[in-house]
Amino acid sequence: MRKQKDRCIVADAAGDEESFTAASIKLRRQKDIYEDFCKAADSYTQYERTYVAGYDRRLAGKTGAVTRKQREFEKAQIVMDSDIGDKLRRAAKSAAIQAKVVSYDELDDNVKTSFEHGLKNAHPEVKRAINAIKDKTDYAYSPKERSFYDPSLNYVSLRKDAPSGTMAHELFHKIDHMNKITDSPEHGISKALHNDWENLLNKSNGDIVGYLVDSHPEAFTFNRSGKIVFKENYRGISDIISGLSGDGINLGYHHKAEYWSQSGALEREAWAQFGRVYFDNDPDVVKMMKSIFTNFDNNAIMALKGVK
Amino acid sequence: MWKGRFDEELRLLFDEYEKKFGCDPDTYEEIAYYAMSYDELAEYIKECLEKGVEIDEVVN
Repeated sequence: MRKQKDRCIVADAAGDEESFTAASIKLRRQKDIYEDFCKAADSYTQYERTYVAGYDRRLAGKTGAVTRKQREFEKAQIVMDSDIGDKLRRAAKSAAIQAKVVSYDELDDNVKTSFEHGLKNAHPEVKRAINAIKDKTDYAYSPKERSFYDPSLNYVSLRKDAPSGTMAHELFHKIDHMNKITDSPEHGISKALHNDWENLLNKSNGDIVGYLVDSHPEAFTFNRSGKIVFKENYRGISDIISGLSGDGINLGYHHKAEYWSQSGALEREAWAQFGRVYFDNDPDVVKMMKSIFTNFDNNAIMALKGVK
Repeated sequence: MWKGRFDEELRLLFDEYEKKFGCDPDTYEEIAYYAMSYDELAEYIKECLEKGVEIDEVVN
C-alpha cells in the first residue's frame, strides 16, 4: 500500500492522470484485501502502518474519487453485460422460432394487468413461485390456437387473449422443468396421483362420474349436446381425471389417450393444472381438488414450498 | 369449450365428429376455441372428418 501511495504522489506531481488512476485502483484493491483479511482474522486494521509522508488528505480524496468512479463503471458494465446477454438470448430464440421473443416487461399492458390481477388472488405459494420466475422467463405471442411452454428453448408461447390462468399453467410447466418436480420420486407426485385414483375408484364403486356429480353437483353443467361436463373453472380437475383414466372419462376438458400414454405426461399436466387451480384460487374448485386428490394436493403443495 | 354460435350445421358436424372420434370436438383442453371464428371451427371439423384425424392435429 505504501508503494502505491508513493506512486500516487509521483504521478500527481507529474500530472500523469493515467498513472495516478492505475495506482489509485491498485491501492483500493490492496485496502479491500487488507480489510477482508483483518475481518477474517478477527483483528483490527492498523492504517497508521501504511503512512507515507506526502500522501495527504487531498491525495486521499483524489484517490477516493478515482476508485468510486471505477466502481460505478464496473457496476454499469455488469448491468450492461447482463442486459446484452438477455437481448442476445431473446434474439437467438426469436430467430429460431420466427417470432419475437420478449421479456415479461415487454408483454402487452393488458396481458400483464390481467395476470397481475390474477396473481393478487392466487395462493401465497403460487404467488411466490411465479413472482420468482416471471421476470426471468422469455415469452412469445403464439400465432397458434394454443399456448404452451417449450422446454427445449425455454420460453412460454402465449396467446394474447389467453386467460391469465393459462399463463400460470405454462409457467408451472417451466417450474416443473427447471426443478425436476414431477420427474423426481422424492416429491411422490406419481404415487400420490395413483393413490388418489384408487381411493376414488373405491369410494365410487367404479362409478366415478356418478359419484362426483352426487358429491359435487355445483361443479357440473350440461353442454350443448346434453352431456354432463365440468364448468370451465373446474377444467384443471377435468383434465387430471382424463389423465388418470387414460381419457376413459372426458368431462368437457381432456387430452386424448395417445397424449396420456407418453411417459410423465400425467404427472407434468397434473402439476401444471394444480398451478392453474391455485392461481385461479376459486374456493369451490380448491375444495374439490383437496377432496378428491388429497394426496396429490398435499405433495404438490410441499413440492411448491421447496421451489426457490 | 366452444361458446359461439351453435346452429344446425354445427350440431350435425359435432354429431359426426362424436360418432367418429368418441368425443365432442370442443373438449380438447389445450385448444383455444375462443380464438376461432364459427367458420374456422366448422372448417377444422370438416377437415378432421375428411382426413380421419382429431382436431388437435389439424388446429394450428
